[in-house]
Amino acid sequence: MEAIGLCSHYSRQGDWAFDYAFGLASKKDIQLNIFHWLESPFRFRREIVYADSKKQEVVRVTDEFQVKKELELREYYEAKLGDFVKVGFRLCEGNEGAELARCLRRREYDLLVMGYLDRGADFGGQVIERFASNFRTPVVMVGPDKPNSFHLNKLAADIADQLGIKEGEWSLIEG
Amino acid sequence: MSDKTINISDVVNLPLDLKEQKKALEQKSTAVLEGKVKVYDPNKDNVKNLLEMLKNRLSRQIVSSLVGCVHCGMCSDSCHYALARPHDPTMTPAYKADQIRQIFKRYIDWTGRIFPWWVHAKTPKNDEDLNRLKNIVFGTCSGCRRCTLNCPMGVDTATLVRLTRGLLTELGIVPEGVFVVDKDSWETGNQMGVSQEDYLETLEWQQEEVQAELDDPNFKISIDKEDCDFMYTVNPREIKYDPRSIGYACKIFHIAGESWTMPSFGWDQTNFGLFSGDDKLGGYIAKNLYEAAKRLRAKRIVISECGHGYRSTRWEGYNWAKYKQDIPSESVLITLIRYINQGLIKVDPSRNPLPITYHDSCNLARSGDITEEPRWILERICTDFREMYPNRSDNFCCTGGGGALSMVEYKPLRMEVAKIKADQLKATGAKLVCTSCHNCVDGLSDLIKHYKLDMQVVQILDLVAEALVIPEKDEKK
Repeated sequence: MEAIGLCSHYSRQGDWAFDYAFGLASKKDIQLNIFHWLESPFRFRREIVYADSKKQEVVRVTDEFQVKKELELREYYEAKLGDFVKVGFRLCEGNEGAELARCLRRREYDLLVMGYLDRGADFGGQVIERFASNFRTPVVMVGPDKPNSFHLNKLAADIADQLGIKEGEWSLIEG
Repeated sequence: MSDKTINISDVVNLPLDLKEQKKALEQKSTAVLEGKVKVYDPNKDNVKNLLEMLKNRLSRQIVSSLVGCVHCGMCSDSCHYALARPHDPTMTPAYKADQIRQIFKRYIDWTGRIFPWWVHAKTPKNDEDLNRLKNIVFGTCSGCRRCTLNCPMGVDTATLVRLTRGLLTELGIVPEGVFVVDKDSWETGNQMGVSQEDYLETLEWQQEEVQAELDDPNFKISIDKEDCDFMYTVNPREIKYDPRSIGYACKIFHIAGESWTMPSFGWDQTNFGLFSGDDKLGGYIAKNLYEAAKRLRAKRIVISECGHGYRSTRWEGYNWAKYKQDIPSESVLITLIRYINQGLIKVDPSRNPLPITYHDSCNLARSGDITEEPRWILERICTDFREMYPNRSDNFCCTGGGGALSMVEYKPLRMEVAKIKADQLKATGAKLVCTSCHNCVDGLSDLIKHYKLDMQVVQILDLVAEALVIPEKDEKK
């Protein structure tokens, strides 16, 4: 394992996913790459996004806005990261599934960790369980109800011992 | 009207947003500097220019639609805007077409020139009137042409709406999204501004995916290979948001033993010129594709799943580009039917057990006569197909047609009138709605989310890929 990809989300499930991914990256002393999507209510105009997590206002993405959002992202995690420096941040656009697959192809991570926002939640235009189950790298989903609830796809289940998750602490994701 | 109904004057009076136009000028956009994409100039006599252009754009087809309307009201029974807002007369197709008809009458038709009050001939007075016209033709019609089939006089309202859009596009009086997509199309040769690098990288990535799935390192997506049986062209949405569909198609071609290629340029089969009414842009995009097929000496052009892309590439593009139709083109659905019919691929319908309904894309069904082909395929690749009513050329628009997905300012109205489609979908009881159009995938996804329907959208290629029997792989299992 060379790098962990974290699908960042400002929610309790997103925080639990971060805690797990960060713990594993620190323990193994490997790179943690944090991917964050600027959420848009629109399909084609991805340059128009929600201003914040309240999703009540939309704004146009400008260079300044992007810098501001990246700063927010860094600030959100910085305190938790402490002295850990092997960390990268990336603001992403477009379909989550397609973009994560692109990053995987560029070898930006080989284990994906994400918050399990809700059962049957939409992710990249498909049901989150189906996405995780079919994704071509090990995936760990954390949540949706408690922080020590781990859900692994088949590829992750095969290496569960390397992930620091004990037998009986995880369940297999059925897509 | 219920409290939730949108106040239509809020839509019609939406101001002209010029931020993107200003940005393009600041960034010295080549398309703008070369005059391919027009920016709004308040110092010009835009009303006069519109009238001049109108005279030059008249054809027999357009004039017959301009003079043919008898205001019988039949069109209001067919339009999803009018059906969703039955108490709003401004939603009827006849009203929308009247906006350009009354200008035609005042300036060109003899009755209106002599007795304007008698035939309701009227002219826009200033740029504010042109802006209102913009909001009507871009914001309240998806160009689905359902009203055309319902009109006893054969009035093609969508053609009149497209004509008006084209005139306004020439003046830079357009929604921001239309301006951006037009500019991207001229500058990159595709409507989503996908760079050459991203396009080629995505194809390489999909090649790797299929190689891994088939466990066949020799599988190749060949680029610019000459003398193939066909050249496969795609929708830029596939590159940007749904690359799997390219992998699925190429995997099927490979298993069928097909000889095919994809062009490095001229690969966008969609055409925003159809939506913005800009024939020059339409001709440019279509010509890129036709020239690529000629350069590669392809025997056919195969068009991936896209309604307006099929209509533009197969029919309209030749007229816009004034190009001789020397290489035949076909929808990928026809290619799939050939493979199944000839036994080149085998499919197992039990792999798609969920109840599935089919949504006919307006441009494929009403404007392209592709209605039975998708059903023929569906009968063979799934076990529980449920027809949606009405269907085929009588089907309702997904509400994302006519470039609506790029015009975000009209989304609230679009979602309100999407109730017609949502009710239609719900009545099928299906869990999956299949369509053969990338635009419809997004239009349907939007309304499914908005109306909280328990449904997923898929395309024919997704289902064929799922049902595909891969001999060696399945034997290993």
